[in-house]
Amino acid sequence: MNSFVEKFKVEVSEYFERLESGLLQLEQDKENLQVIGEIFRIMHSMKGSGGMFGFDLLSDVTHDLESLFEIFRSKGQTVDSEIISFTLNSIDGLKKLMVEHPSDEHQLLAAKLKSDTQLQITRFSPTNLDGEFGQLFSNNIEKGNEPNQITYYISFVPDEDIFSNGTNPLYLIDELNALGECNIQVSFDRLPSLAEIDPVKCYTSWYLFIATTENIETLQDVFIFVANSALIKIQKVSNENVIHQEAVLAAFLNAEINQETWNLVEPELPEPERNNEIVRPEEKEVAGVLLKSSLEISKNSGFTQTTVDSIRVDSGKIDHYMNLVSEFITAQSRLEQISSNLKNQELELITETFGKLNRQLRDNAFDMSLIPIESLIVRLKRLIHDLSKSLDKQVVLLTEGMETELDKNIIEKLIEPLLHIIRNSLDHGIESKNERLAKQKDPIGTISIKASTIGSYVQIEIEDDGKGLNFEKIREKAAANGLISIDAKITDEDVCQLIFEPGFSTSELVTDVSGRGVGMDVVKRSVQAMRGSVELVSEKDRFTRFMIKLPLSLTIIDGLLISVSGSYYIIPSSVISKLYLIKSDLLRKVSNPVIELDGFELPYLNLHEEFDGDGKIQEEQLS
Amino acid sequence: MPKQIVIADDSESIREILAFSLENAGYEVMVARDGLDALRFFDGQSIDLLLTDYHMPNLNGLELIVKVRQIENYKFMPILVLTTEKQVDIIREARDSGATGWLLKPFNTEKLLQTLRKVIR
Repeated sequence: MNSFVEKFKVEVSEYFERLESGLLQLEQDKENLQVIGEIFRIMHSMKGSGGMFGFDLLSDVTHDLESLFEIFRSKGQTVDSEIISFTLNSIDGLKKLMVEHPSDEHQLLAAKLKSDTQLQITRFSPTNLDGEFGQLFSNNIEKGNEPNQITYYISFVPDEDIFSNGTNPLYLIDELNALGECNIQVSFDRLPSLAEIDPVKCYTSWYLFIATTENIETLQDVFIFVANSALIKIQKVSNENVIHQEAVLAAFLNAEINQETWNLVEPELPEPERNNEIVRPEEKEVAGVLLKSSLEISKNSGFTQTTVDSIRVDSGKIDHYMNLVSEFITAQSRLEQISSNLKNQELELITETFGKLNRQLRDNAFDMSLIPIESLIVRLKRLIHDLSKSLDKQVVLLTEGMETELDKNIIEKLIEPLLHIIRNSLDHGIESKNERLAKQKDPIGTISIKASTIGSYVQIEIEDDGKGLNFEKIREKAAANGLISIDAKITDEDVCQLIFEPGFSTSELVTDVSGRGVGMDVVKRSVQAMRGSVELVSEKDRFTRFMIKLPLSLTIIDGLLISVSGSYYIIPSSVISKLYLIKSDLLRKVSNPVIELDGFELPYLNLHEEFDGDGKIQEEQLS
Repeated sequence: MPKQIVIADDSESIREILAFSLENAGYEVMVARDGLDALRFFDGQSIDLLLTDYHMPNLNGLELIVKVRQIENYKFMPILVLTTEKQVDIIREARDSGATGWLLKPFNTEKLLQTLRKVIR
């Protein structure tokens, strides 16, 4: 044990150092949430470990200090200089409390540090009293041990998915068994037919009588981890041990429906959908029975029935479904091809029906995996909120077309690039309030996100009205990096594309703000990995606009099947803008092969030549 | 074969006292400094329990749980979170991330083993 204590002392001295340096950093930058978070975390660790190694005074005082920093960490209050020097002083006090056998003097010091901290806490939250009182009361409940054995009836009906968080309900039954004499009945009522059994679901329920000297809280504690994932009922049967008196037990079970004196194990963590905010003493039974299902609640207590128009499906299942549909489509295309070769009318007919159904199935599957972009915006809003605060810039976020839907896989992969872009806009794009005023701009910056569907693509535009790109500096840097020649005359539009080049750090370049250099090449890479594209337009002191184009889905691509010199190729429909049927006499060869279409001369490629064929175009393919 | 337990905590003293108590009780223990460090143990080998701190650098306890739960072999493995307060928020977050239960600090060996017995044998 002593070696642990020694280790702990070393650790604490490190904690003290980190606290001090954190506080000093905070003095320079009072709204640095990262530092506040770090201070909070250290206090939290000290509190926990202090108690473990017998430094109760340390633990006590840091508990209060932690509460103080919680105010700054999550309640939106800002640290002031007084807090910083107060905390530094408290740390000096804490150092004195690092003794294994505290004297009265130490106790006094701890009490003083605590009351001082409480004063600071009230300074920032004058009306916050409820928490403390709550604790006071709960601490006063004494766990009285009753000498006599009491018989309880317990019903334990786990949710079907109780295994999914690693719970083994059998261990809980074992635990009960260790607390007293038990009479256990297992019910398989919920067991479905063999074909429907899901091996990772729990279909078993337990009903048991227990005669124990433990009190009801101890019994409830057994179920503490599962209070929200099972229906648990604990009732007193008798003030003595009646576990062997079958008649008494049977009589109890018969009367159970009318029983009114049972105790409900209140769920540790109330969940709104379980409607248990309506639990009042007189309704306890109703609520207890109905805790399971909101449908039944509406039946028995006159709540308006809510119709269920959506179900939750594990996203893995959707992925699997999409994969199956893709396989199905592949198989169906082969069938179509074989059928067209065989020229069997009956087969062709059924293949056609098959194809029609297949398309519907595909559209349906596709639709299922789409989720609105809205879901992503919350993350961005959060970032803007946090970052604009820490950068001391005022920014509003405007959104448009958030109902636009995208494949959920794309949405997930889109988060990082979007966070990158927004972070960049906030940090480097949007100017400080004074700077904006000097430029006669609205002191409040704007970031707007617009999404819209264009064909089988979704376009997302992210624009800020900040200072725009510094084209000159980008040119200089690109020239220095050898990306362009020094005297190259490239347009501003082309300059914009340069920042997507790998290794083109924009950190000290586009902006004077030091710090995170955001590699835009990462953004480009991740968008391209989703078969999308990203473009950038910017105007000095006006705006910077990113335009991201993404395919609706990653799983299924519509394509045009072509054959060139005996090989088959698929061209994604999304890159085809128009198809023409062309007679070969329209093809001309001046210096380069060109074709006149819709009044324009366009260059063309002869795919037969390009793919090593003989270059001879068969006329019947064109007609 | 003794049960395999992974401990993730950024405090060395807590790690050691946990390892000490658990090894004495006959468990086999693997220790990690933080969530990221802990992930290396979840490579498919059989692990019976993850005991993780809540606040940790790199990958915190909740992030670790989410990551571990995504790995096929550990979908049903019991996970306990170490926390100092019985804060409803923290506990709910932990449970939503896939934790089986929690253990409040400070704890003694008896409390530790008693809580463990709720989830493994």
